[in-house]
Amino acid sequence: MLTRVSICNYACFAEMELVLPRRLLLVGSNGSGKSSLWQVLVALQDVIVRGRDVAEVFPTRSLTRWQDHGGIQAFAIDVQCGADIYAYALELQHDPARLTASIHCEQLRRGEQLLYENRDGEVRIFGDEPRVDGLPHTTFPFGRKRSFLPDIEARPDNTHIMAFREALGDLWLIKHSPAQLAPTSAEEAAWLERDGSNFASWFRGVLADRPEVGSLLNEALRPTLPGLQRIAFEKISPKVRELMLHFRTDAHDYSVSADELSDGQRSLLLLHGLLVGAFNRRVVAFLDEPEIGLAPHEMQPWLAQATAALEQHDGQLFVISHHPAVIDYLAPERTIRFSRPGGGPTRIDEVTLETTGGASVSEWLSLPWVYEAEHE
Amino acid sequence: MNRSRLRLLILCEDQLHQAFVERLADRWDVGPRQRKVKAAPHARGSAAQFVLDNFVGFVKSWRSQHDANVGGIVVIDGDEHGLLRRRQQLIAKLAEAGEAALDRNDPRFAIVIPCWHIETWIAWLCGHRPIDEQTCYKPDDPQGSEVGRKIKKGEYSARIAVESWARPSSDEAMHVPSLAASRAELRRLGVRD
Repeated sequence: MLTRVSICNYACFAEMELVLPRRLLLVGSNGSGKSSLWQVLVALQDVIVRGRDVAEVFPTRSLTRWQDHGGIQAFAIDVQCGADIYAYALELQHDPARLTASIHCEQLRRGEQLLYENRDGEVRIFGDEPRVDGLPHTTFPFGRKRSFLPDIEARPDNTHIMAFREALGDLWLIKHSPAQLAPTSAEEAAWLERDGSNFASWFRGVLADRPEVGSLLNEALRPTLPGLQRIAFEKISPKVRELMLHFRTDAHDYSVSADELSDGQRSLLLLHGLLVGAFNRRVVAFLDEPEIGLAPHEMQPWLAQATAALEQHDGQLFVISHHPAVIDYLAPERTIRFSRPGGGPTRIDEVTLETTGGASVSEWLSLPWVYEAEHE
Repeated sequence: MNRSRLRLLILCEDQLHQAFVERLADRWDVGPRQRKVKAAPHARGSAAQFVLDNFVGFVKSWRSQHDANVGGIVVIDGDEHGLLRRRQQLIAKLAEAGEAALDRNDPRFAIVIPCWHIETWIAWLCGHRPIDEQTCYKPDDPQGSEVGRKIKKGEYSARIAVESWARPSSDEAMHVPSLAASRAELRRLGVRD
């Protein structure tokens, strides 16, 4: 469970700290910083799990424009795994002249215990059992461009580092783009791309592990895709498969490629695929505008199923939305509003029944004068 | 009303109400596509006023449904008012608005009033003892803080509570009479225990 995130000197966040509950709805004007929060988690996952260079995921242009911290940018997250709380901190030094970023300091702690440190190009790994003298088990020089965390191999003496990395791997950051969904798959994919473009390849991998998920997806989509009989991969070359949907009307059977679905239908395919393929275990899902392309009546049923599945597995759900059906379904949990008064740094306020004066959150957000302070 | 085609409009106070009634609906095979929930935004205090304020509109909306299979469920905590006074408050709202009174035997509408609040029912159904309807079970309440904390941590939840819905304890009516009364209220909708 992701319990806290803090950001300093990134995009519209000057100094920001957010405690994260089990469910969270994020609302606010366009450009208020909601997606920037999502983007920070994307970048941290890329650094910690996928081994990407910090300069690529935190370009120098991501520095806050209205303050100078000497090019220092900092991020921290807390992740709870069972009884353990892992605190990860990353401090980057940007060189504005060369437009590059490098790791100044990176640390992972479990409670008070330091597990891993990368400081000024030297990696120190302390492992599960600290030494009596407090020194690391391993020390070696390492470049400052990327974290060493993705390279650490699973061993019996570093289970805590692995637990943290796996928890970050189970962070599903989705901002799907229905038009990008490719209907064909050359091979199974371990990850679902955040825009959902490789859904076919990811779902092919899910089916290889758990074939029963195919019928679960059929059942989930049948009420929303009338006449749907089954979803299956069809071989179009020795390696390549195409995701096909088979329908039956009164007199005819016919098939369509995922490519031929409408944008809304592709959104449904992806959202329900995610539900049956990923929400069957403890995950953290952070969805940026999941409502794209969907008819208004489709969101509440999906959210009801998603929240039930996540509750069953003790998962977490964060949703950015502008859609009334999404907002009002999730608002009873916890809602935060992002705003940038006067175009300055992002401000975060909790939205409660008292804030809205008794109205629903969507109704309140639709009032133009709610945003007046942002323009003063 | 054809019970196999039951549809539900639900008005309730908060996330715990929402989770509880949705898990009950799942139990009755009234799936997410057969129900529509309206709940108050997260509140610092009680959201009962939200239900009271929205009750007349909710009843009007339910009455305007042309499908006889659409049922209505309203969930509001009894709090310090208790079951009977809370029910009277709702009925008074209809009268004030000039709206026809609800038929107490209408098989399509149920008013569910957990006392003291839904936390009481969740704790009882999750097996916590002792439980009574005079204690407030919020994490910051000196008497009920243990239950409040367990609900917050997920040890007691709407899902776990509804799993034991069908096995009422023999002493339920004595300790949690509002729960026993609501079972009878909900049975009128034709749903199974």
